[in-house]
Amino acid sequence: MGEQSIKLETAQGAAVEHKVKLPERWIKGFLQVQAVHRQAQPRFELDRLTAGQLLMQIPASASKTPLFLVPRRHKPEILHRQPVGKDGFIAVNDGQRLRLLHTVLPDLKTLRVYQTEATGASLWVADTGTAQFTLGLSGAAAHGFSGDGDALRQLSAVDADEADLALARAAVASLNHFSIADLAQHQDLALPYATEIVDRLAQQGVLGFDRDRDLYFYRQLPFMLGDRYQPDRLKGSQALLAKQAVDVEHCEWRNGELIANGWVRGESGYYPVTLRVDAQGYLQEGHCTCPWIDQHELRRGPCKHLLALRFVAEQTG
Amino acid sequence: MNAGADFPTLLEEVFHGDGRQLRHLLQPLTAEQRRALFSEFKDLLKVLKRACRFRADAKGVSLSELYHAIRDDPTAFLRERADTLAAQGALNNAQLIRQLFYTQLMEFYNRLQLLQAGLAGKGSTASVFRYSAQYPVWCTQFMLHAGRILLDRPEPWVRDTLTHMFAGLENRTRFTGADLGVARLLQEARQRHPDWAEALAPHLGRAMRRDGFFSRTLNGYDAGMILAGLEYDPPSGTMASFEPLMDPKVAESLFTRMADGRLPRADLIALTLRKLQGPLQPGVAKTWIECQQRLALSDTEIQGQAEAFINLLNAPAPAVSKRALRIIEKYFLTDTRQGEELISALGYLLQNPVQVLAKSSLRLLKKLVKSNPELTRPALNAAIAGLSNPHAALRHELARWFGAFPVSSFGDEALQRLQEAAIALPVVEQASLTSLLTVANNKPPVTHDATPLDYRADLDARLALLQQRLKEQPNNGVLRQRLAVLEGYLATGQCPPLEPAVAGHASALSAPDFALHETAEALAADVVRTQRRVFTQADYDRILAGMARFTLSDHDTGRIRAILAPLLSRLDHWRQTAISEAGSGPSGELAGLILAHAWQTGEWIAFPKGSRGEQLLNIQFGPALRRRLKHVLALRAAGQETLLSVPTHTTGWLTPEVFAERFARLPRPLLDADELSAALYRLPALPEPRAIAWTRLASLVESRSEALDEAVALALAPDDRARRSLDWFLDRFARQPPNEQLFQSLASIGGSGLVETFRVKVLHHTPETPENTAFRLFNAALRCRFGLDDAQIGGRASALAERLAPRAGWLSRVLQHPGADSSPFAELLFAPRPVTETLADAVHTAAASVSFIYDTPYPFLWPYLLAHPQQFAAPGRVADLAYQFPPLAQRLFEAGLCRQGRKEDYYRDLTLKLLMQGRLPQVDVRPHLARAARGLAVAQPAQREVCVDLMAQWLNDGRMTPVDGAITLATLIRETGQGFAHLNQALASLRVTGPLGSATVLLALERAIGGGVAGFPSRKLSLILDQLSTVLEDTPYAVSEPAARDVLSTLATVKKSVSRDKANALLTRPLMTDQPPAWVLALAPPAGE
Repeated sequence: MGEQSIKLETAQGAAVEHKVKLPERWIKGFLQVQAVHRQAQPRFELDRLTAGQLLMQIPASASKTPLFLVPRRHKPEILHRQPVGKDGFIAVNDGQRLRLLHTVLPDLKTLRVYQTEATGASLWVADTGTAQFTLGLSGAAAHGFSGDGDALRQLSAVDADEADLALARAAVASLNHFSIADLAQHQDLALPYATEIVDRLAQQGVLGFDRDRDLYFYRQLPFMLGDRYQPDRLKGSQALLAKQAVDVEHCEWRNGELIANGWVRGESGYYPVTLRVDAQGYLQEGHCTCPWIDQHELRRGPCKHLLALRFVAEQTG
Repeated sequence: MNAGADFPTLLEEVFHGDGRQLRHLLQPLTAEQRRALFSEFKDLLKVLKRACRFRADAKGVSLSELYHAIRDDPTAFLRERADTLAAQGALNNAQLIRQLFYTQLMEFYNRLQLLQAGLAGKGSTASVFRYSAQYPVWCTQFMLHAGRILLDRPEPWVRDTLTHMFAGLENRTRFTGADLGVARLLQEARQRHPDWAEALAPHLGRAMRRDGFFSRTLNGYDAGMILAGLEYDPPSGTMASFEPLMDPKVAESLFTRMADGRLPRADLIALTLRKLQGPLQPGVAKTWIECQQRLALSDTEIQGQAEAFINLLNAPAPAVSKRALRIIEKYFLTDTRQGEELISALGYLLQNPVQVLAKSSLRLLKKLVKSNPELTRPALNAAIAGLSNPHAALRHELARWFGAFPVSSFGDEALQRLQEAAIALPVVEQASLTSLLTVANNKPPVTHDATPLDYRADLDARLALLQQRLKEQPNNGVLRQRLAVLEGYLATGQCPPLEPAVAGHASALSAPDFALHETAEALAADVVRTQRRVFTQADYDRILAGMARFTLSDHDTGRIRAILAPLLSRLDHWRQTAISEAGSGPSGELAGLILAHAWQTGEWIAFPKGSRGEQLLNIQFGPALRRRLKHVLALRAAGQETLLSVPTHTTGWLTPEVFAERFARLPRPLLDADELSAALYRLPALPEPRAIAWTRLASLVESRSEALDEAVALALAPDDRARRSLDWFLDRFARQPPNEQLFQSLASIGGSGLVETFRVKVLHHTPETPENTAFRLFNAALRCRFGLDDAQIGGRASALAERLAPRAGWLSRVLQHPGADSSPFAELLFAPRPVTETLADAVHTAAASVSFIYDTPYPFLWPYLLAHPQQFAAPGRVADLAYQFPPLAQRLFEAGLCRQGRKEDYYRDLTLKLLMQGRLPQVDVRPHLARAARGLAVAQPAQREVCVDLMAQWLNDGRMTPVDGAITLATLIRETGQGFAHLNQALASLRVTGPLGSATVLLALERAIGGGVAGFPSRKLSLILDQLSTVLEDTPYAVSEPAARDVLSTLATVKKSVSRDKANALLTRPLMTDQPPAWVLALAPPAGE
């Protein structure tokens, strides 16, 4: 293992992986990966036979419509439509990406599948017994995790103390792999506040999330995001707040959920906005008439208008 | 110094000579002489190169003029004339290029570079091979010539410069031919400098691939270069597909060389083994396998490569593994020295997803164990991994093999692994392993415990649920029919026939669901949503109705103006003149802007001539839409909120009662003829509501006799009254024929039949004249009354339809072609027939050059055009047409079927949208089931899924019964040979659409199998049996069709067949005597399904 490359040699040959310079957008995508992984729910655990049968059926050509993988034991199948009245399936856009897993098929013991409902992103953990190979698929092949914008759906107006953040940053480096409860105990913080701290650190690029083990881990992305780093849409929403461009018409808390609607005056329009944030602080529903939401709905995260309305609603509600 | 290589000679050679002569002059020079000459040429080279650098507007100079200026006094030239005579681009500018001097310039520039390569120091020489697009391109073999000049030089740094040049070969070969000869250059370098071999070695393969193998005799290349070239694995890209060995002449040269000893045989054998180990494309793998076969390895040679051949068993290319299996079987199966490695490799191969390889591997393992019983334990141990192979047949065979051994043949660890692997196996496959697993687990494997289902109780429960649903929807005829079938079955044990539901306009009886904007703000937000949006007819209806209802003065205009502001701020952009950028901006912006402006100001927006807005106005906001907007503004000015043609249902229907109410309420001056036409197209053919509407309007209509009133009477009145209106219109057209653009559009050239009919004079088109308005109204009223001969109204219309004689005098006069038969045209207009491929071809030929505008007032003519596969229209337009005239869905669906049957369909999205119209309940699908079902076997998933959607929809709404569907599908299953996998995928899709889909597929498969499977290819049969097994898995049923059971029983006895196991598994499901047909149960699904 060298500074610039990793070389692996076997009797049959050698393979070298060189360090390459990644575009900043890709690296920012890692910010989203942890957010997407956190929302992912376990869907299936397949034995090697079923996994093999299923993955061998994945068509090689790209399809405009999602594939519906039905991992029925011994008779897994791939459908081009959602089975009616059944939930034993997982929908994957651009499913041909799963053919990457063919390489590990001979050594596969178990295949665990997780999915984030909101974006359709999925995680495929191929366990060989001695190693786990995780393949993360974004909601669609046309955009990576940076476009999923899932981290933005968890942003709230709640502020974290800078000193606590600094202490936690030092602590996570020493903890290496940890759960939120571990951090709360280590730093003597309340669990909700520890969650907020972890969110902030994750957004600064300091933490990754291993869904298969349900643990956070410390890692530095190859650029310093710094405390002041903010995604563009968050910056945009702050600008709207500064201009007092948000007019909340209705706002209420119902069973821990925040429901609000109002008008936001953007730079190029005046938009009606409605949203629903669940009890875990995740933006479950949101609608705005701006071009971003018109084009992507919530599949690539909220627009700045939704964020701005949420921040105002959280503070006034 | 060489007498010829002085400044003047070299200068003349650069200007008028050639590259070879230049090399000849430079060759004998010593390093010092080169240095001295370069100091003389250095500044001049810079100036001349600058002159070769492109600048479009430079003042040109000829080469001879430049030569004379330099030759006379080079120093004075550089000092006084260089800046004027040889400025940048003087030799390379737009004017010179036009005069075809470019070849001359290229050669001159290349000689300059060659001179630099021969004289300059290390740094400047390297720059010879750098290239900028500003300079002339390199000539053919430039690198060979420059490289040879470099090779002639005595300086020690030449090796590095040449190596650098070879390393960057990819970047230096962007021009065709410049790199020709690089392999020869490399060969010369190796011959002249054997000590450079190591430095040049990494570049041999690439150079040979680049151009060495173009010399197919391989003359001039030594064995090292040839083998390096063959071994070179090019990066994916331009060279990736080129494999020299595929050229028979190259292969021939190779073996000739090997025969006469110029190419070591051992090296070539080792090379083939290395290549076969790599990830080769199938074609390339085949070539290398053939090469190895041609080498005809002796037994000794093969024995010496035992390890390599064992490794080849698991090579990435299946063809290579196949060959390795043959060699292993012949040479190494009895060789116990390789036993352990061989067993390990064969065990790994058992997991290979290519079934034939895994099966061969198992065969060899069996053979190995038979000949070497001492290897039984390691062989069994390695083979356990094969139980995870995705192919059931292989697993089954493997399990049976295991079962033949006593437990003692397995070690404890192996038994444990066997146990783990067997857990994942289907029960039927575990059977062979029972004895082994019992020992390993100390308990018998799990078996299925099937509890027989009480079908009678189940049927009763379903019946009760169906009765309950019918109570909630007493008018639902489909439910009533299904109930009758279920009751009949319960009473007699026999299935009464289930009649298909009749298509009709009854959906218009459902509750109105066309939602209008609730607030002015919602309307404003909708209007500004123009990004990535093309407004549909429904959008326009909603927005225009909103504009009539909400006037800005009555509402909070501040916020609405703020919402509209971004759109209105684009007004200047659209008023500017910019011909080249006419298409810029979001698609719906212009339409949105026009609507927003009209709503805000109450006036039509005016665009200056030549502006962007004026250029795109007809495309984005056609004349009919403009007329409609002006009508809305007039309504608003008069304080009226009613827009006559806005539908009551999202599907486009306007209930006759609502229409009558609106018509009666609107003051006469505000009744617009086109608006009335649009409304008439939307009225469903429901006798009672129409009668109510006529009762409401009769007195109003009878009191006046204008086109508006006659149109309403023609559309809604009883036959006697309607006949009067028909005559009224025909008399009027006889007096003053219309000159609608339609007649003009259909004018065509050449041909016969329809083409002759439409050969008409170009008419002056005046859409607003009373006769044209009346003609549009007349057509709308006719279609309102007669529909498209659908919804059982054909019979009612016959008496009136006869009066529309095809040779109606005025129509022939309109077509202006003496003797022409106007009947085809009259038929299209007045009695539109079902769309057929013949009709589509005829209309396409006649109207190929017609560009129908989007807001045509004759929507019923579109399907004939769209039915031709070469006809293009925006797919969104299809839904608009059916929305505009709901019965048209029938014709649009037929047009989709016509396109589906043709191979040359270039606009599949359009075809899909047309087919999707078949979902609408007013479409009669019974005559088209077989044609529609053919779409299930097409290759495109999107098209297949649309057809599955249609089938599922028809099953659910009763237009297709499960039995009819099954008959159609069974025929299709039996007839489909090639591409059956696609049909199989569609059957899987239909199966998961719900109980009716699943039952239909089950019945279809049973019928298809029951008809005999003798002619089915094994793959097709295997897929059918798998599909049948999957359908049954989710249900308590067994195969019930007696013919199908007979066929399965026969299949279950066939020896050595994959289908045998599958048929056996199907027959193991117990068939109950009281099991009702699956489709009968599916008619009344239990709660939750």
